[in-house]
Order: sequence, then C-alpha cells, then structure tokens
Amino acid sequence: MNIIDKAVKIGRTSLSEFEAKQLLTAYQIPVTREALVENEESLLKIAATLGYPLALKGCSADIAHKTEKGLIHLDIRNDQEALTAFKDISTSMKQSKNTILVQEMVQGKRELMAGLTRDAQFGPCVMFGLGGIFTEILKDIAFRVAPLEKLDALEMMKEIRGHNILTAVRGLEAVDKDALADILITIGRIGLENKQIKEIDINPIIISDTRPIVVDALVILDKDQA
Amino acid sequence: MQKNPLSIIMNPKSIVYLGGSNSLQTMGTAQLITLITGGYQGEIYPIHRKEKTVLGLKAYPNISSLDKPAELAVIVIPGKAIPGVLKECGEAGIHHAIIITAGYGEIGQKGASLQQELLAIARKYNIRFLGPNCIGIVNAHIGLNTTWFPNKYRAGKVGIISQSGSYVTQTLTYFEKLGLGLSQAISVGNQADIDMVDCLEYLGEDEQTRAIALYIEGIKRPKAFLRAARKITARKPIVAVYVGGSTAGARACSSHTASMAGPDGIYSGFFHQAGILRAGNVMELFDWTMALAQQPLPKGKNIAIVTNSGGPGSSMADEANHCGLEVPIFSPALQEKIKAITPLTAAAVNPVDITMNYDLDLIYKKLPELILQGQDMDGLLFYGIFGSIHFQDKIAFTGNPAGNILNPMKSLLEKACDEFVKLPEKLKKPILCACFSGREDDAVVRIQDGGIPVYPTPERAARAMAALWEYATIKKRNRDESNEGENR
Repeated sequence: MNIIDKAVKIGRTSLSEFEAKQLLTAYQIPVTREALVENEESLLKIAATLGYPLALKGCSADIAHKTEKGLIHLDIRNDQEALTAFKDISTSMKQSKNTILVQEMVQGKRELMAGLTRDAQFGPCVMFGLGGIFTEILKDIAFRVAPLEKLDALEMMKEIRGHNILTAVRGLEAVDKDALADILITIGRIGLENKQIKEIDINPIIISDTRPIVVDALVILDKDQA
Repeated sequence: MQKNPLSIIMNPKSIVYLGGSNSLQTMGTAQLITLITGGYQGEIYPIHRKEKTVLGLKAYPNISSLDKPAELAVIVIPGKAIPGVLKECGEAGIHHAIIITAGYGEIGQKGASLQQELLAIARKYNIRFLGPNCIGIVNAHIGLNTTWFPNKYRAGKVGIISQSGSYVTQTLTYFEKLGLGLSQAISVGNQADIDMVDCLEYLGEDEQTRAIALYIEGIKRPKAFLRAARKITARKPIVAVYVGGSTAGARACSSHTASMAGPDGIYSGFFHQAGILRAGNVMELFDWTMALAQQPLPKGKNIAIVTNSGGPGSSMADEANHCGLEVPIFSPALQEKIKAITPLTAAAVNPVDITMNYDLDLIYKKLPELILQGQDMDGLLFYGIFGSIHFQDKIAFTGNPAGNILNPMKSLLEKACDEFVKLPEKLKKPILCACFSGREDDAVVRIQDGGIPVYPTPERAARAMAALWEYATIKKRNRDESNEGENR
C-alpha cells in the first residue's frame, strides 16, 4: 500500500514534506537529498553523510506553511548549529515524538514553482510560475490542462512575464528546460493517476546551476476519494 | 462517421415554422418576418391552428398536415406545447429542429428536468436539435436568418459560435459598420443536444468559413472540445472570448496553486493547448477574426507602416511594439528606393510618412509594393485612406458643378483601391488599414469590400496584425500528432 492510500485511510488531509518528496521521487522528479531524524545522535550521523550547509525542518503532516511557525532553520554550517536548531524546532513542535527533516541546502538564485489543482470542468491542471516569496506577490503563473505534452510545458515557461529568468542572465546559465518540462508533465501525470490527490504545491524549485531541484513540496489529499 | 446534424440545420431545403402568426405581438412572428425577408430560397411552412395564411404564406393546421416532411423545424412556441410538437415532428419524419423557446436548464432544477424531457423525446424519435433558449442561426450565404434581428449584413468568411444570442444577432448591424462579412452564425443556447463541439466541427469543415469566433461561458465536453479545436487550428484560426469571474477567492484551499487557480488562468492555458487565440474582449474577437478570415499570414514579425500623417503612424508603431511585433528601420537600399519615388518631405525610415499627398498610384500601389516585395518586411499597416467624400463640400463651395471634378476623381480612386486590394494575394503578405472615417467614405467601402480590413483606430489595426502573427506561430508549432486523441 502506498503512502497516499495509507494517509487517506487514516483520515489525513495532507502528506508530510518527506512523504511528498518520496512520492515525487517515485515519479523521477529530482528532490533534495534528505532524511528524517528523531534524536541528536542520528542527526549528527545524517549531517555527516549529507554534508554542511544543511536545512532543518520540523516535519509533520499537520504543518503546512512552516515558515510562519518558526520550524525551519536554514544554512546550518556545523554540528553545533545543527544541535541548537534541533533543540529549537523540538521545543516549537511541542509533540511527544519529534520528527525533523534534515536536508541539503540547494544553492541557486532562481526559485520557481509548480503545482497541481483540480478544476470542476477541466480536471487536473498544472501550474507553473515564479517561486519563493514571488509566487504570491507577483502571481506570475501559467496553467495547462493535464495531460501535458512537451510543447505545452515549454510554452508555459514562455508564457510567464518573468520568462527571461530561465535564460542565461546576469552570469547565470540557462535553465535546463527539458528537465523542467519533465517535472511539469509528470505533475500532470500524478494528477491523472492519483484521484486522492487534490492539490500539490512544489515551491520552491531551486535552479542549481542549470538543474531544477524540488526543495519543498506540499500534497493535499481528498479524503472523500478514499 | 455520423453526419453532422448542423449540415442540415444550417442548410435546410425546407422549414416548418412553429410560433408565427399574423400578429406582431409574438416574438415568433417577428422572427418569421426576418426569415421570410432574408432572401432564403427554400420552402417555409408556417403552422397555425386557425389562420389559412400567415404573413402571406400558406399555413398548415399542424405538422401532420404537411404534404411532405420539412428538413428543419424552427420552434418558437410556449414550452408546454413543445414536447407534443417534437413528437409530431418525429412521427412526420422531421429530424432536425431549432428550439428557441427559453425556460429550461437556465432557470434551475425545474427547467432542467423539462430540458431532459425534450432530450428524451428527441433521442426516441432520432431528432437532433439546437437550443433550447437560443436565438437561432444565420447562414449568410443562403440568406437564412432565424433570429429576430435584421438582415442588413454582408456575406463573408467569419463564422460565429456563441453562448450568448446577442453576439450573433444584435451584432449584425455592428458587423455592417465594421465591414465584417459573416459566413454562418450559431447561437448554441443551453446545448441540451447539439453543443459547441458539434458547431466547431461543422464550421471547421465549412469552406466559406475562414476564421471562427467563439463566445464562451463554459465548456461542456473539454476533452472533445480540445481534440476538435486542435484539429481545426492546425489549418483554420479560432479566436475566443471567455468572460468568467474569478472564483478563486471564494474557495477554501490549502495550497497556493489552488488558491491562484481561477477559471481565467485555466481557460488561458486551455486555449493555448487548443491553439485558440484568446481575445480580451468582444471588440478584439471580431477585429481579429475579420483579419484572419481575409488576409494571408505574415511569415515573420517585421511590419512596415505607411502613413500620410505622423500621429496615427506613431500610434500604429507603438501598439505594434506593445503586442510583440517589430517595426524595424528599413535597409539603406530600401530607403533610397522610397526616397526616389516619394516627395522630399517624407520620412523614409519606417514608418514611412508620405504627408498629405494625393498621388493615388504612389500611395495605393507603388509604395506598398516596393516595401513588401523584398524579403525584409512581413506585413503592412496602412493609414491614409481618403475618399472623395472629403472633397465634396470644398468642390461645391468653389461653385464647380460637382460632377465635373468629383466623378473623375471617384473613378480614379476606385481604380486605385481595386489595385490596392489585390496586393496581399499578389505579394502573399497581409495588409491592414486604419481610418477614422467609416463606410460613409467611398474609399473605405471599396477597400473593405475588396477584402482588406479597415479599422476605426490605428491601434486596432496593429493589434489585429499581431493576431495574424500569433496564429502564424500557432500554425507552425510542432504538435506530437500521434498523441492526439489518445489520452485526451
């Protein structure tokens, strides 16, 4: 039984970030290297494997927009900082068992986003746009109805006002549009193949050199589709 | 493949008409008058229980008393009588109908079940129908108009499918002023049986329709719509207006994606996938289809501007740039050639400003031809139409008998305009014009009727040119055709 079925069966309305990333990985969408830890010992072990700098995030299916709750610590440079962050997040989470996500820090100046929504008329629709804080501020987005062909994915990228962010600008290399197109096409496929998924936010997708990598993801479930 | 029911509905050899009388108090009578006076050559059989004749036509007491079945029934009678009439049609061998009467799906639950009843009867008797709650159809090429609105419109190449009856009826006088020629227009109403997809497929195949204008409020069968539209837009342009409020704010969503997913954005994406140009409003819808239906497509986005006045030329250039077209400076060689034939005062860079000049041969032939015949320019925006109407008062004021000067002028002008309208086909490049005068100006009429759109403002001409370019890029894009229809 997969992650989605399990979650829906016990009445959950979303996947944790870690679960969402596992889902994306199963669909070959590139995500951050990461692991869940529950104590300081495993934290330091994982940190050694992933290598600094790292991000630590409180991980639970109940926590959607995490930034507002102080559950994210970014750019952690060493063991000392990691332990402090672990303690802070554990305190904020106020749960009996604290699960914390340890994640590589992806370096890149460009943040994009992709998502899935279900329209009553058109069914699953894929969204693409500028990511990070600009998503809500600029609402520079484009939609396509699933399934997407490569042409649709490429045209979506051209359609946003800020499309030049994908080109070689200010010393940055041009974004690997094929890789980005694959992500958009696959999100449409996920929507078509999983009725229990109501919405997806993949934000940000950070462009590391040329490659898009999913840094955060939210999957909302529809419990009526159990 | 099943024959599209619209091929009969839009081209019936005979019509049985329900709802007409000798009293103008009913809408049905008014619509019958348009039908009779529009030039339709087929038979019209009005049904009336009491009258022997209706509006001068022989009337029949009921459908079963017809000598032979009509091809189409047009129904404008109160709703409660319609189920019975549909049955009679079926029994008499009439298999196509337009139900104009309202009071069905659009009024809620009760109406929706009445609509279902109509559909069930139609299915049983093998009847295909348009409506209910529609205004009817226009087929300009056979003078068929079942709507309430007047017959003063030109036959042409723009086809219309509308979810609002007003855009195929009340617009007829607007089309006349705009110089837009209509091929066929369909008001789809509630789409209980025949829907927009059927209409698209029909107009897609119609030879006289060279561009399709759509007014959309919602799509019943999105997958079939997409399939049909993509097939059509590979060779024939479709422009759509969708007007839908954003409901995003009202919905409770947990993700940013869903909260930003208003119908407006999704329709834009859907139109892109279908290869449909999305017009921002009804004005653009008809402006663009008028150009797309009549002009060749540009091969690139370099546009030349010829004007006899600075302001309008600049407005055209500015708007062309805003919509993604280029107005590049002409090559030195072309500039030299232009200077050689134009007066010294003119700017030869692009826009070309010929100033107030009445050398008809230069304006309407030599200059456009010179500019468009090379490889550099892909299309022409033209401002400077000046018909004889502007000289009438002046000539009269000088005491000259008008005919002496005016008539030769008119005939020269007509000749020049006739040469001008041949250029797009000859040079395989589009020309669009703007003129603040409308069809009161004889030159505007001559050019519009010759097939080159003349818009009321410079910006509208420029935007229509951008629509031609947008469609040219849609036509060129490579769809994976093997995928089409499989998983959609």
